[in-house]
Amino acid sequence: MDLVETGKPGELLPHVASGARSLSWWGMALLIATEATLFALLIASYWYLRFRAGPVWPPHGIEKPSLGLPLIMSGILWSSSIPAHWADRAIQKGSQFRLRLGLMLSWMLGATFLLLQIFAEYPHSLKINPPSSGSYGTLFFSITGLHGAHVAVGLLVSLWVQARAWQGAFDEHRHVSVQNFVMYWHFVDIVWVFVLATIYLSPRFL
Amino acid sequence: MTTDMKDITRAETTGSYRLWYGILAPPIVWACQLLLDYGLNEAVACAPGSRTSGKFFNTSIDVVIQIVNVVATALAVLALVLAFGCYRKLRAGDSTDASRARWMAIAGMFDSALFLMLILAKFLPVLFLHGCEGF
Amino acid sequence: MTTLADRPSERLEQLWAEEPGLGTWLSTVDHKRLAKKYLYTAITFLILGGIEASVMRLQLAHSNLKLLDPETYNQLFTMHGITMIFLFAVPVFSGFGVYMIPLMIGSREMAFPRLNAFTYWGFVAAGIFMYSSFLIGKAPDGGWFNYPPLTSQSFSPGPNIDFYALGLIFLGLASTGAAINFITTILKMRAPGMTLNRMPIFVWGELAMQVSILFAQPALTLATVMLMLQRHWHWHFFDPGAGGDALLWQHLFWIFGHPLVYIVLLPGLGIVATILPTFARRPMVGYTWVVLAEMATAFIGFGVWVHHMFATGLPSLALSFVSLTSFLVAIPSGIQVFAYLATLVTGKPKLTTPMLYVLGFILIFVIGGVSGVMTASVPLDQTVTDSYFVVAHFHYIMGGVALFPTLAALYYWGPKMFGRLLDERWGKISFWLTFIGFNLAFFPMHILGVIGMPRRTYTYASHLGWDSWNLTETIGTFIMGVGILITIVNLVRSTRRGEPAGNDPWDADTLEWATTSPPADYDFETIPEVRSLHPLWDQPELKDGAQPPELGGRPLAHGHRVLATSLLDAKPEAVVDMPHESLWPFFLTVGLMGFFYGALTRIGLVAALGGFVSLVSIVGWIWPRGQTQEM
Repeated sequence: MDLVETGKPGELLPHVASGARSLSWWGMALLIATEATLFALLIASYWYLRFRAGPVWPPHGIEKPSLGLPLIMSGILWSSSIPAHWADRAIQKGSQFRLRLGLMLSWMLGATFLLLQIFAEYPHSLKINPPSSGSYGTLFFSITGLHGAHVAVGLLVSLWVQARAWQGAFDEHRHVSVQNFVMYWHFVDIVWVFVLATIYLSPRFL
Repeated sequence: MTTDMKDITRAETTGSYRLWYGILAPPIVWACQLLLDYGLNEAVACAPGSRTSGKFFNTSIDVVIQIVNVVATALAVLALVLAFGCYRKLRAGDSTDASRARWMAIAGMFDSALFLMLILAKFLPVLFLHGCEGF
Repeated sequence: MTTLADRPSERLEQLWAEEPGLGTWLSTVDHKRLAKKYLYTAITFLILGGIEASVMRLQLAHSNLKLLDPETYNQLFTMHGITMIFLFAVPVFSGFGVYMIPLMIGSREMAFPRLNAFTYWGFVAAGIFMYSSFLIGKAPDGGWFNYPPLTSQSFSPGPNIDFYALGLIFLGLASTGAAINFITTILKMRAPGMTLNRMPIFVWGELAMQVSILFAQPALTLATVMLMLQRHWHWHFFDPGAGGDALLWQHLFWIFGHPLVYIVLLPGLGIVATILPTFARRPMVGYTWVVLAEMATAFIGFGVWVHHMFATGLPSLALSFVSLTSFLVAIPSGIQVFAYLATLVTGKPKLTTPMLYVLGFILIFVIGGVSGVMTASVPLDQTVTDSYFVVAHFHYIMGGVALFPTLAALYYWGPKMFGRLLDERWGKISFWLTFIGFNLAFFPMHILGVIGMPRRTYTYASHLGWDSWNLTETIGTFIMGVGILITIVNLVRSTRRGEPAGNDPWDADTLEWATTSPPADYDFETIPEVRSLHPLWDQPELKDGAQPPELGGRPLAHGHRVLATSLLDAKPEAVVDMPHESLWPFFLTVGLMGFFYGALTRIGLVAALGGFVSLVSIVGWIWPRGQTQEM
């Protein structure tokens, strides 16, 4: 454990911090707070426009969204949080192998989610409610698109963290980047709960 | 002598739930009350998309709003009581930590009182205006 | 045991000094140099916004003048609003914060120095981006709040609105970064012993401001992105014909826009709460009340946005909740004003120039507050909405809370930043001209509004009887302009010929006055241990120079380091290495400029190139260098 002098007689402090002691952790937490606000406002806009549109939703001519593929996608995305969490715990105990494996598994599940969205869900949705068809289509693509963009950024960051992990940059004291990434990834997964509920479930049940 | 490796920030924050409630609960309760009172009226009961114009689950929107207001008041009064209780317990206590904690209790009392006033004010509109009256 | 005899100042100088001059002009991460850049740029925009206003006032000096055509007038009032709010008021307080926050909390830097650099460069770049629209005569012209359907593609087909939306998205990236930086710095880098209740009021004010930015900015970003998607890709957010709603823009804009005015107000109040006790020779009365009022105002400010929409046809019950809250939000502000008055009355006030500006602020802010409480009433607001009454209200508030505290702070902190006092006699002259000119310029607007003059009108008929008030306002504007100019000249002259200030010319109580004027590159020779809310008044060793290690001073001289402390009680938790100069923040800004110009012109290659440069810059920025501990 790397301890350094501050110059005050007898005082030694850690040179490496993690968790809430670390400055960068706070940076990530605050970034998540602002992004969460962005999603909250976009979803509020959905409900606002929906209430102003009248009692029929989706508007006439648009079928309710099918649930099969989205539910599979949800399962894949949410399960990606498990190896991520596992990787985070692992490096806090110093295990390099489990860190690398956990991050890799999490990445593959996240990438599968995104691929399914871009190549399976979107072509289908573009046929029935493209964004230019009206507010329903616009909102569908805005919300899922913003979320997907956050997943994509998360995957890029994960590649970076994994590259650093393979270089041996992390150990049981020095791992705040892993914590920050995993915190961000959990955030993205939690946002999907609201996206699923709003876009896919609410037209059927509310 | 090395500093205790335990996370000091975490210890500070998790050790003082009641202090935090006194400070943070009143504004959050007020915000939820405002969003509900305003939102239920503008978007839910009175919007074109509402299937239950002027009503919310078969109850007049005015009644629902007042129920929200009562709950909000109760939660804010709780904050005031908790903050005051903390203050009483912390009144004696000279250390820097104790004086900071006492300051948070005092801040909680002021905060609760201020936001309680804002929360109580929202009982008034329903007494004069009703439902979806426009202008 | 370390003693003062082996001063670590030489080692610190080596560790913290940057090469002076052009070499590090682009790559500096020193908070003091970045802060000065912020201030110079913000004041430049103040002058530009002032020129825009002056030209408009010339056009309005008399009825039926033809100095400007309506389209030019629209561009001027839009850019005047954008400039004064986004490019002057918010950045100037960020600038003072970047300089003073680390000093006031006893730190040597902010939490993220390279992010600090990026937020400055991003601010300048976004400002240049928006102003470049003047070069093609297509400046934004939809008003600073830019309502659709006027600003949709069909009614605003040119690039004007695109400059607006993209410029603000760009600026929003910088603002968000700054907010994250400030909040982390204030919460985690205070000197040991600076518990929450020993934090100076200015620091609380900046905290309230930056937390508000963090939560308000997404609303504006969302609205402007939606507008761009609608304008160019034909998505449907604001057009009722396709299920959209024009009021969605208004809601999102004002969810940002109202907290924005508190974002400007709170640091201004914090500056007043710093200067007033110093010259009243006593601590601020009711510290706890004032701090709570600051934080409560910020919070309540998020709940009153609908009062900008009283004339849009919303149900009365909904409006009344907001109206009530808008009345009551005046209470925390009132608490602060009474605290100021109590401090003045129980103190021994000294009428120096900064104090005069502070007193001027109090009067102007109270007048602005009164007209604000008036417009909180739905019936009154519906009568005066979009009239000059509203213009009077917000200029009294914005002028009061942005202009006067800024000018006060230039006189108060100028000596700390430049090492020289400003001329006191010219300072007083500048105050009286600014104050009298301000009131001449804006008070008659209340009257004009009530007798029916609408805002944003480029001229008016002669039979209406509005000429004499308008002429008075124009004259007042120019008098005020002269006053402000005198301050700027005073500042510039003082940097060369002013009397040396010494560490603490005002005998003030906060930690920035424990450093030299200007501070050394490393700010503090030892990180002080704080045992009071008024460190320089209660801890005499701080006035004599570096606090010795036996009394708690920490030299921290073994690296380019700062101290991270705990959230509530500021107990030391870790030692953090700070980065050195870096060009990556500047390159990232250049990349983003390219991206935004590409988006504006819809030339995909330019946008892609810009995006690529941005990505490379981010990678360069986070690329591990031996000494960075965390990544």
